[in-house]
Amino acid sequence: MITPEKRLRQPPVVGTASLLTILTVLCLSCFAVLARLSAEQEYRLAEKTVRAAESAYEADTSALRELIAHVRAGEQSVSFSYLCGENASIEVEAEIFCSPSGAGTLRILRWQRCAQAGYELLDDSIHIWNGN
Amino acid sequence: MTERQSPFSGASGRRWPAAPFFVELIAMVLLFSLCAALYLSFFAGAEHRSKEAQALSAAVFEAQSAAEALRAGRLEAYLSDHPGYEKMPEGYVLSGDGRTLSITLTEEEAGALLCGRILVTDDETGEELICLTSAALTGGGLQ
Repeated sequence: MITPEKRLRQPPVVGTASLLTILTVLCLSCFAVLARLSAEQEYRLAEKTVRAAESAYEADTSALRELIAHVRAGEQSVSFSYLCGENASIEVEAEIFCSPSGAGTLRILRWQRCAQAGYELLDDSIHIWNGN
Repeated sequence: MTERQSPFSGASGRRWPAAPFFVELIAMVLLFSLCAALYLSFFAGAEHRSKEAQALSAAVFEAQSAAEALRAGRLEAYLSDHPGYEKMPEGYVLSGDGRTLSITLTEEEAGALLCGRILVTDDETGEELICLTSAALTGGGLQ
């Protein structure tokens, strides 16, 4: 028989409703944190895309300026590589065809963005063709 | 005849044995309220960030689209797809979807190069989202 004194010494009872509340709180905490982290990562990726696009088009314009400089230097066949960031370059090949009338036509044969250095895969477990 | 006891009173008839129940109840209500406020702030922050990311991605697509059109020398065709554009002395301005895309055209290299500065700004905040520089050979000025 539980005497009133023994009942007083019992620890506070945590009911089923409280347990459910605690579990709900924990689950919602996880979802809230994950949602916030996911949104942050999405924003960072968008920022990276912006920076990549800006640098790519800037390099493209600079490569065009260099092509014009080569043409003005009187080169009939132009071939150069323009560095674009740390790991990429724009490979340009162009030729000037002169017609008998004296008019010249600048024909761009190659305008290609290439990886500058061989990249290393951090995860060797995935077999990916490296292009060679 | 025994006196019926209130559920909030203990065996001894005093009112304090029900305290654990109320403490638990109040603690749970407080905990849930605090956490609810925290979740709401987190979810609101996440939604705001997600909208910013979407606006940034859309700005990239718009700017790249205009830059490619300029690069291909088909800026007029691009503009004809956007009937609401305004022609300015230095270029064009397109507005829509809460963003403004402005194209500033300049001739460089003695007319050999047509350069376009493509800027996308957020109408609400006035913040610059992306700024691209694209160019196209005009065919002139290379003699």
